[in-house]
Amino acid sequence: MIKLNEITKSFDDFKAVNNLSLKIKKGEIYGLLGPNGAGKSTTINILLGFLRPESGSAKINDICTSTQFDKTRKITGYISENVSLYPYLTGLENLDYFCKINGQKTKKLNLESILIKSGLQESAHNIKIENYSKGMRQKVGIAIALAKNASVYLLDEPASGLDPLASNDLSSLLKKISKEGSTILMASHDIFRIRETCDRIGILKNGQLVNEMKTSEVSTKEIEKIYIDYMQK
Amino acid sequence: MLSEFDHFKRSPFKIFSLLLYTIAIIYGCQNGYTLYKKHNLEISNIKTKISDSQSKMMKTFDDIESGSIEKPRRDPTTPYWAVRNTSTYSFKYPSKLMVFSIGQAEQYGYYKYITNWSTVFDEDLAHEIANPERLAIGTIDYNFIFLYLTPILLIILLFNIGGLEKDLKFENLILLNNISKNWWIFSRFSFYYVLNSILIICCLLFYVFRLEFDEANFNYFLNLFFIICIYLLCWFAIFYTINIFGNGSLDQSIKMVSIWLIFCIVIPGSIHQASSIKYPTNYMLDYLNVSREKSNEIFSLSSDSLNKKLMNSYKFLKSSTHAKDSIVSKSIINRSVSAIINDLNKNVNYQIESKNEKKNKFINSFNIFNPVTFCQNKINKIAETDYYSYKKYRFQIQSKIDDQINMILLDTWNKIKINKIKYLQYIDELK
Amino acid sequence: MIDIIINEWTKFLRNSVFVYLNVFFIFSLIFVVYLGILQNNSQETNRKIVEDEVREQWDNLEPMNPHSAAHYGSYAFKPMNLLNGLDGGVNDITGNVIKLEGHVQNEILFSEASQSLSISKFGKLKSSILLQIIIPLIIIFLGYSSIINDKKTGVLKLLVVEGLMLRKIIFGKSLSIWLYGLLLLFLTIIIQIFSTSSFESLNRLILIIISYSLYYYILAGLALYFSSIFKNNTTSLSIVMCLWIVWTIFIPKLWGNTVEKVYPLPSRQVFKDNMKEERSKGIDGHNPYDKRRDILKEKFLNQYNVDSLSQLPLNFDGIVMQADEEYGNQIWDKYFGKNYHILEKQKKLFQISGIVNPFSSLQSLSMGFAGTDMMHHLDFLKSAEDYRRYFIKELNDQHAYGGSKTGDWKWTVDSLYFRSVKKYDYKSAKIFDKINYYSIDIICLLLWFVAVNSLIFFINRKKNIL
Repeated sequence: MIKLNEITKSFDDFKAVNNLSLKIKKGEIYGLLGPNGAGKSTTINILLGFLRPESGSAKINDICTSTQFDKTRKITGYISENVSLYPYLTGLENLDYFCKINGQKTKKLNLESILIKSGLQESAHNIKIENYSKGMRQKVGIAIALAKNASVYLLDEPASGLDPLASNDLSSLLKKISKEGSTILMASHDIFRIRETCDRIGILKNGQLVNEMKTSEVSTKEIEKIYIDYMQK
Repeated sequence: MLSEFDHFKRSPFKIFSLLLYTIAIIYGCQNGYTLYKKHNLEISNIKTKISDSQSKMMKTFDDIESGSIEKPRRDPTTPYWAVRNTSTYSFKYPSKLMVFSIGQAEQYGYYKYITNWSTVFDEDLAHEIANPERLAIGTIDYNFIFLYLTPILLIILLFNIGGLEKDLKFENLILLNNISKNWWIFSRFSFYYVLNSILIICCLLFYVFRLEFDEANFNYFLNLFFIICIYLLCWFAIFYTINIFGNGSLDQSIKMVSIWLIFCIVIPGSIHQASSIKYPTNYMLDYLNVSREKSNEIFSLSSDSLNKKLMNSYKFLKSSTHAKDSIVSKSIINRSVSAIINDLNKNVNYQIESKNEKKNKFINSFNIFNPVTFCQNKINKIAETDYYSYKKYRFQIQSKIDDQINMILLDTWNKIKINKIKYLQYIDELK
Repeated sequence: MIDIIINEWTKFLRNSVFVYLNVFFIFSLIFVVYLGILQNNSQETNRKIVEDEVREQWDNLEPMNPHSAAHYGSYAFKPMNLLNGLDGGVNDITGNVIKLEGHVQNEILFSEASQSLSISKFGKLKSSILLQIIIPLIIIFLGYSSIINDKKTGVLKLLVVEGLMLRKIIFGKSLSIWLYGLLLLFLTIIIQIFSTSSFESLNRLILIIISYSLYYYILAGLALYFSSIFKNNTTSLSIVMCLWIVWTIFIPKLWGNTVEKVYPLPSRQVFKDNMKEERSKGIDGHNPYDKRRDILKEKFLNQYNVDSLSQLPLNFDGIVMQADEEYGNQIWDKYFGKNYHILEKQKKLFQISGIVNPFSSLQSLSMGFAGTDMMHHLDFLKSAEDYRRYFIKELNDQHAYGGSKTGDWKWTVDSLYFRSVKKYDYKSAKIFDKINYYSIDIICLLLWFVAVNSLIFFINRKKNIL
């Protein structure tokens, strides 16, 4: 469960996040929609514990991210826009390395099954990451989160630059993960992908949540209209 | 070319580096200037001492002639002691261009007291008392700054020319503007070439005016400036090639630093090591043998043998008064022995200089691969602080030793009694 | 931590360009070390040949008056320490030969630098150049972008989310690069060990390893630190390269000049004149009219209760010569002592620059532990002077008490006696006897080690991850 309570974060005179409150339930996929500079990445960085809000609190499973960073990171998975893992290691080796630094000693068979679960074909397991497509790298990124049994997934523009098939794969995978009880927060400006993947959407403008809606209740066209209206205000 | 100034003025790191470089040039020249002044001061102090000593000697002659004192143990009325008392020194006067290159000046002595027993490898010709670690680490003179640090400054100024555009992926945007890549980079490089040359000439001219160079020195200075321009051009050409084929600022800077490392450290260091292996340090055994073993052999010869040797080597002695005497005077021979030893020393010197010359030839044979050392020695030569300038100085010393010996021989063998006038004549001839 | 190191090494080893360059570099390193040893051995062989020849001349000296033999004199040839091949230190610019004779203390002459044109301003391509200049540059190149790249690709964020502390990542990466430097260092030292067998050399090599290890760690740590605080590679590389240039080229030369200005040495002329003047106040062994000689004569006549020198059971000329010598020794001790004192002060002041420049400390330690620095050079000069005193005293005593009478300059001793005079045999000082001289350098390097670790330890995690 993710809970943001009236958080504010400024960089010099610029308020990146302004009094933002948000609650994401267990098993829910939440999409943060907003233009560049709206505060999406800052919100994710606060949840990751890399930024400390000036006021308010950010909690993951009721643990404060800024004061108990060591605890929250154990249950958090993070997938960035460009999942650039170690190019000289294979997918399997990358997963093994991240498991090791996370303090887990996972057998090769288990690692392979995690990679398969994340959707990476078996034939690609022993190929160096430098030869992977972006979609494949993202699958390894998700496998890393899966390996540590993350209960919360934070995704920063995960679909940017993916081809439609890979985007679709990603959506399916995220839905599968959420069904298993994980909470997912996905920041993006891709209205279509967010509508396809998420249960709920929040529109962020100048660091403030200006609207929230359930994806089951609105079509892509409607979301687009609402979004443009807010941005032009 | 001038539009590059806009890039330059917005790069505080480049401006700071150029400023630092300027300070380094001035510091380097100032070091040379201080050494130049120090050498002149030392020489002038010695000259005062010489003048005092000669005045004392003249007073002694006056006193002897007036009978107010007895002749001293070392009788100055004999040619031997009169010459010994001329307080003859040989100086290597520093060139004004030393300001720009201290070169090897700190490895050699620049004044020497000359007697008939002197040699060009005497201990009083050792370099000034100095901290050996400081000498080993080296002095910052202009020559060093220019040859070794200018390329580093150029790396800082040039590494991102054409590289930044590649880093930020807008190189094609520039090349679309009806300009060839080569010309574009060339014109940007030209700005720094002109900037650097102007900076250097300004700094150097300050010292040219400060030391009031005469025409001859100014001509040498022009030679120096010519070398500076060519050397700069070489580095610009190398860096230009790197930037033309470079893949971004980082790639260019790493290649530039590697080239600097190869030309300034690896190649000179390798040649230095190779020359040391091929021509190990000379312990001067031949010289040591003359000053000890062979001298000892000469000293143990009889007066008759020495007399013959002297007459064979110095033909003019055959017509001397002593040569016509039926008995060989032991005291005259004793006062002449230094001439035979000097001949031995001269032979050894020739061999030592030949060995050193072979080593120098070996070093010079790599000049084509070793432009930094080549230019370094060229500049040292202009500043008269290279090996050959000191070799010339050694010849000058040897010639003064020869002069003293010839005087002693001629006047001792002709049994000439020295008075004040003759003494002044000696001084004049040995000047 | 081990996982980070293994991962970094996997990165190195899977980069074929890096591997090929390293194979080339390692072969070059081996070659350079070998050349250093070769040059050292050839120089040492030459020295021994010359030394033996000079001694042979002494051993086979024709019968001679002992005082004439003192003028004939001997020579001390500066031996090349076994580790000269590793770091030549001051050996190229100091002389190699001192004439040891009666009445005068000569200067060491015939430096290698004075026997040819000037070549490299950074010295011969010996192990020390590779260890002090090239390997640190490689360390910089390996380190400057390491964290920045991870930051740019988002791997750093992921690593931290997955449980690694930023400082642990920096430490791990620093150690990986440090280990690389260490590998090259060990390779150099192992080859060097093959050419040396003495326990003393091994001690010195261990100290050299420790010094270089510390320096490499400082450099690796700083390169990684800069890589973690800057956002782009160009800035990081520029800063580390600037630091390298200032440390390696500027400060040592600049500070070297400065210390000579702070504690100036006298000019040779002034020094010699002062010594000469003071010496003239003592006994002149060769001047029979010297007043001080008469005082000594009276003392001896009274001591032996005789009226004339001819009645003395010894040769008074020998006594005078030794008195002259001892007086000269006092003057030498006073004036050279002053110079040595100034040199030591200069050295200490130079060492203090280690506070801002760990390279100066490393350079000083490298020369010191290789036995080729100024302190070892002064030790050699001192030992040569000690031998000269022994040598001249032996001869003067033989002159005085060997059985001749005063004024008998024709009295001689033969080669049997000359052979009994001990040969000059210099053994380089033991490093642990001299270690005090290097305490400032050691402290400075340790301070830098602590400072770099502190910088990394207290790095602002959050600010530098994003």
